[in-house]
Order: sequence, then structure tokens, then C-alpha cells
Amino acid sequence: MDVLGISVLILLLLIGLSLVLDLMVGLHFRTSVIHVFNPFLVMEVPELIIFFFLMIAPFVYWFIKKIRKSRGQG
Amino acid sequence: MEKAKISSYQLFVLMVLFQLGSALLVPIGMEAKQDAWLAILMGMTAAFILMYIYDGLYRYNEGKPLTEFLKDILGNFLGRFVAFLYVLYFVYLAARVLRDLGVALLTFAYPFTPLFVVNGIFILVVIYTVYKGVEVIARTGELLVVLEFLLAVTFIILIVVSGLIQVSNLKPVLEEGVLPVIKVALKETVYFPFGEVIVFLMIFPYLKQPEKIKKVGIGSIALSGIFLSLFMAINISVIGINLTARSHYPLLTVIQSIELTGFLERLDIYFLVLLVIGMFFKISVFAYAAVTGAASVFSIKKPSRLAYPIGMVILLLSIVIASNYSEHISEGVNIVPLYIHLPFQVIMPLFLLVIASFKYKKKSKTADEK
Amino acid sequence: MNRTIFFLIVIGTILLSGCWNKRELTDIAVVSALAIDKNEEGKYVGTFQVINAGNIASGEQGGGGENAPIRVFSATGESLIQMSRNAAAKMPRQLFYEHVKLLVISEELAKNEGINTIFDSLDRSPNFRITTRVVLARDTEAANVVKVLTAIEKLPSEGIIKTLKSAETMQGETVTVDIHAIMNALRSPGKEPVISAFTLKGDEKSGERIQSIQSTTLDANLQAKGIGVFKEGKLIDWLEDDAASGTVWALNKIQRTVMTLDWENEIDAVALEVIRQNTGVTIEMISGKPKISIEIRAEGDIREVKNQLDLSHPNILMNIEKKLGKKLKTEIEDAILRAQENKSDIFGFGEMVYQDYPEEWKKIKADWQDVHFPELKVDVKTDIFVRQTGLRNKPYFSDFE
Repeated sequence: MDVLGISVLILLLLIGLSLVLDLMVGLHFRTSVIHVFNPFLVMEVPELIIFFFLMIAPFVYWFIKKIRKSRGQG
Repeated sequence: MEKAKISSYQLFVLMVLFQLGSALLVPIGMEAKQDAWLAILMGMTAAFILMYIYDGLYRYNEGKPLTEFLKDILGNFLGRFVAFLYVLYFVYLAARVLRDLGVALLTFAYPFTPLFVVNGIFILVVIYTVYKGVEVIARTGELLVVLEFLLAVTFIILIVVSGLIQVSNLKPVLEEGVLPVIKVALKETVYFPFGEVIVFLMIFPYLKQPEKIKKVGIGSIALSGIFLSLFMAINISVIGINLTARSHYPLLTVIQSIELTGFLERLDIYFLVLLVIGMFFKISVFAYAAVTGAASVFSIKKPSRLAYPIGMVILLLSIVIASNYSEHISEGVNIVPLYIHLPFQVIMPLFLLVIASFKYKKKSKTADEK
Repeated sequence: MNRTIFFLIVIGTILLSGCWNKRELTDIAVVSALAIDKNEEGKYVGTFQVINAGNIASGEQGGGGENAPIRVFSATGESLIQMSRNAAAKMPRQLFYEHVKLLVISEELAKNEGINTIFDSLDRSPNFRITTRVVLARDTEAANVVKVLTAIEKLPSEGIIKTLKSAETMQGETVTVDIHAIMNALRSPGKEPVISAFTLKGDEKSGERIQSIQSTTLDANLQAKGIGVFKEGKLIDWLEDDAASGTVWALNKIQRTVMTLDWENEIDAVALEVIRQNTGVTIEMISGKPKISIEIRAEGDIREVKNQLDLSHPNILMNIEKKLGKKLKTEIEDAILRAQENKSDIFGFGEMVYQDYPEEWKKIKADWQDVHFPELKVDVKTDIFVRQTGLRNKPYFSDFE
């Protein structure tokens, strides 16, 4: 899961960057933090389902692969 | 690095589509007012110099992508660090373009669909393409460029025939002298879209004929620059500078104003197709560069493994990047060019070029002495 | 063996083919809407809107039917069942209730008698659907609402339901409720029902004629107007405009709506179309007393600006967000205050207390509506997010002097 670590690192750093950019536009720190997360506050149910599906899908895939591999060996 | 080869024609097409991508649709160089088209041309000229720098940089490190030769020039640790910064830069730009695309689709076609869903569906296509590798991107480009140019040419013909162009809208030329226009060119248009071709430093190594890089690069910048300038001139001459500057998508308004022979009207689909094709290549190239770059920085053997997670990062970031479109745009116009594009597109490559020239001169000298 | 199977099949086809109580299409009259009034003698007056099937189909194909697409019959009775029996005496066909889409209750009936007991026969009947929509007839008899012909939609009942829906999604000052929701609210001590009302504009007599819908403007037009508030089954108040929209927000029934904002002397200078919203209600118990917090988050696009606002500037959008949030907050607080003055818990806060704190609820259940609900502390938090500004940033008059 090194791949996951890299992605999370990139994501966190770039969220930091977008925070800095918000500050540079002239927003206050608090509002820029809110601005980072508020798009996720108003989500419809289908949207949430798609969200979780997209985020969880690789784990499911990885898991199935692992099971198959162990079966193939056994 | 994967084992892939692309032809110089494919690279040319890819670079042109990449530069036309989002720049065709959003207003650029608006501070130059009716001289925006001139600002684009000047930006293009300045971009030729950038292309020379990139080409020179690549010459010293033939066959290696940007993130690899950074390690050679700056040493293993520092090189990796700077390469990682470039990866961040590519991911960030991909997210920006994705946001542009999503918002454009939302504003004019799917007002009640959540942004996340539109972006999510699009990034899945991008992830698939990136997963398949650079050859697939190049071949897709070869196919879709025909459509893009067909649309562009018919669009120009339709606009000219329908008599909407009022050249007087472009006057006065150089209202306040040439200086403000140069300023806009150096502040804005050179970086977006032309300077962004620095991402192709990640793709040049796949070229079959490496000697043609300079030719292809300059040619593509010239072609897309002329196209962008022409489209901007059309925008301004059809709907006037005021409306162009106020619009988020001036080209859409221009397309909507075409009414010809009673049935060639409501051609909004032109905009949609141009939008999707252009944005697709821009995001794909950035995402591809980010994926291969990250793989080389963290020494991951199969870059395609990174395609999905980095695609998701781009997706999340495209949502997080700004709370509303105005924030997104004002960051894009006022801050990103100066504080992000300038260091990554100009300062760092120049710096690298200087170091590389010293380093390799020494090397060749010592080699000679031996 | 073979013979037994053969016999079983034969007997089965005869007995199980489902023609026991057959009703041919030519024997039934499809009721599309039902209106309930009360006359001077205290009897229910039922008005049945029956679909004139032949006319709808021919109208589609061209020419437009000469006759009205519906026929209306009315009958009286002490109870709804009685009423429906009496109606049969006036009708050549059997009334068919499976397709009743709309139930209209008159204002008089709702005010004086209450609606507590009228739903039982509808609830009990296997033919009636409890998803039938309910509206009130305001300032007019319920019968008139089902008599009037509507334009665009051929069937008036369909027209009313669609109007209600579009008003709910586009305007956000009405709620669509069905029999099931009303019965639930009537039954529960912690909740009171709300029902949207329709009123008749124009001449009701000429609205019944087919000529009415053959002209460009209707002689009589149905219009959604206000929300009726009930207490102990009786209509006690009408909510309109801001009170209505505040109530719909607090009920979490808003789908899309337009919010307007005054800006520097200009009334309604900014219009925001709310595209989606999220309402969360939480309950806390503070020293035995419930405290409600409503948290509303909504996002939308700016659709109109009447002021020289530069929407390309994020700070201005933030300002708009803040002011709109404040406005929405007062709107909702006013709506809640109004409900507290009415002593009618239309939001179902009591039910939420029951679900989260069943022990405490037992103590306050008896006088919830009259004592505890009016004293209830409600905390409203609103967040509005502007996402896009349409195709343009500044308005075209942004450089007018």
C-alpha cells in the first residue's frame, strides 16, 4: 500500500497549497479552512454512494485479488 | 518508464490539443482588453524562448524524463525533492483543469448534477487512459484531432459567413500603447497555456525521433498560439470586449449567436465537444506526467499502479480547490501564474539549464583530458 | 396418475382464473379526484371527478375533444361510505377508486369539524391508495377545485398534483403530503400535520366549461396558495410567503428554491437558486428540557443581480453567503416562533424527542403541544454556499455611471 501513502501525501500537501492560495486571495484562515471542506458538506445520497464507491473500490479490488492469489496457491 | 514509442506527428497533435484544451474556452489575457489577441501572440513568442530552454535541458539528458534527470543534475536527494514538487505541480494543474471542465458542464448543460459526479465520471475515463499508457493517449489524440479541427474550421466558416464579425470591435488597437499588452503577455498568457508544455518533458523520451523535439514543440506552440489568438479575436469582434471579459465562456456565447439559413443555429454542441476533447487531453497529459513522475520519485516499478489513486487525488482536489468558481478563477488569474507557473516554468528550468551546462561541460572536459 | 393431473388442471383453470368478481372496463368509472365538503345539514358532500376516458384519447390525436375530459358527480352522506353508496345511484357505472390521485378537503370542514376521523374509510379500503395526495380548498368549496378544468394538463387532478410538485421544487412554499403522512401526524402526539392549499382565481362556473381551456387565458385558474396548519385535527392557521418557506425549510422538504437578498437599498438585488440542501436536526436534553438544533447547509448558483456587484470577487460572494445565511436563519426562526404561538408542533420535534429520549418523553408527552413545545429552545444554524454565477461574472451594467 505504498501507492496509497504516496497519494495521501500528495493530497495533503496540495490541500495545504490550496489553503495557502485561499489566504493569498485575501480570505481569513478560518474561512479558507471552511472553504476547503464545505463542498463536501452538501451532498446528495447518490453522490455519497458514488463517493464511497470510488474511494473503496480499489481496496475491494485489492482484496479480491489477494483472495484469488491465496486460493491459487492453496 | 514504460516501453512505448510515439511518432513526432502524434507528439505534435498531442501538444496542440493540450494547449488548445482549456485556453480555447475561457477568457485569457482580458486585462489587455481588445488587444487580448495580441497578448496571446506575444505570449506565444515568449513561449518560443521557453521551448528553447526546455529543449536545451532535454538535450543534456536525452532519453530521460524530467523527474529522472533532475536526480542527475541536482543529486539524488535534492533531485527527488524537486521532482516531487513537479509532481505536485502537475497534480494541482490537472485538478484545476478538471474543475474548469466540471464547472463548465454544470453551468451550461447539467445545472442540477453534483460537481463531484461530473468530475468523477470524467476522471474515470482519464484514469483508464493513463493506465493504458502514453501510446494510447497519443493515438486517441491522433483520432480526435480530426474532429477538433473539423469543428474549429467549420466554426470559423460559420462565423465568417453569418457576418457576425465586426472588426471595429477590435479597435482601438493598442489603446494605451504596447506596454500594457506586453505586461499581460508576460504576466499571464505565456504561462497559460503555452508554458504548461513543460509537462511534455515527461513525454519527450518516448519520441521515436528525438532530434525533432524542437521543431515539433515550436511548431505546436505556433499553431495553437495562432488558433487561440484567432479565436480570441473572433470572440472580441463578435460579442465585444465587455461581454467577452464578463463571460466565463466567451466562446459559448459566440457559438450561441450563430444563426444561419434558418437551421444552423443553437450550435451549443460545438462548445461541448471542443470542451470535452480539449480538457480530456489536458487532464490526461497532466495525470500521466504526475503518475510517471511519482513512480520515478518513489521508485515504484509499475507506474500504472498509481493511476487510480492519483486520479482520485485529482478528483478530490478538483472539489477542494475552491468553494466557488469566482474563487477558483481569481486564484487562477491573480496568483497561480506569478507564484506557481513562474517558478516552475521559467525559474527552475533556467536554473537547471545553467547547472547542467556547467556540470556537463566539466564532465566532457574531464573526459577529454582522460 | 395422469388422469388426476389432467383433472387438477381442468379444475384449476376453471376455478383459479380470477373471474370471480369481474369488472369490465365498460362497467367502471375511474375516479381521479375526490373532494369532501360539508353542507348545512352537517352531511358530507362528496364530489367525484370521473375521467371521461374516450375524450382524453381523441383529444391527443387532434382537434381537441368537444367534451370535457372529466365529468363531476356529487353525493351526500353521513359518512364517506354512505356518500359513495349514494353516488352510485347517480352513476351508470361502478366507481373505481384505484386511480384516485387527489383528495381535496374544504377549508370549512377542516376548520370546524376537523379531519381527525375522515380518513378511516380511505385507509381501510383496499382500493384506495394511502399515497393519494391531499390538498385543502381555500376560500372556495372543495367541489369547485375538482370541477375546474386545467390547461396544459388534460386531467385536472394531474394538473393540481404537478402544480403542487413544481411549486414545491421551484418555489419552496408548498409541501406535498399524502394520506399516509397526515394520518401519521394526526396519530402522533409529537407531530401535527400541514397541508398545502389551492384556491380558485376567477369565475368558477365558467371554469367548468370546455370553453375555459380553449382560450389563452383561463376563466378560472387553480393556484397553490399557502400551507394550512392543524392542531388536534383542526385547521388553525395559514402560512404564506416567508412563513411558508421557513416552515418548508425546517421540515427539510425544500428541494430547489430561490432566495433573494436586499443589497444597499435595492430590494431583492441578488437572487440565488438553491440547488441542494442538507438539513440536520439534533436534540439535546438539558436538565430535563429538550433543546433542538437545526443545522442547514445549502448550495446554489447566483441567477440574478440588480446591483453593480462584481461577482468575480470571492469576498463579495462570501458576503452574499453570510447575508443570505442570516436571512434564512431569521426566516426559519420566525416560522418556528409562529408554530410555537400556534401551539402546534408541525415540525415533529416531539416525535424526535420520543425517538431519542423515550424516558423523558413519557413525562412531557401529555402537554407537549400546549406547554413544552411553545417553550422549546430552538437553535438554528445556516450555511449558504454560492457555487457558480452562471455564464457571466459582473452584470452588464457594472460600468454604468
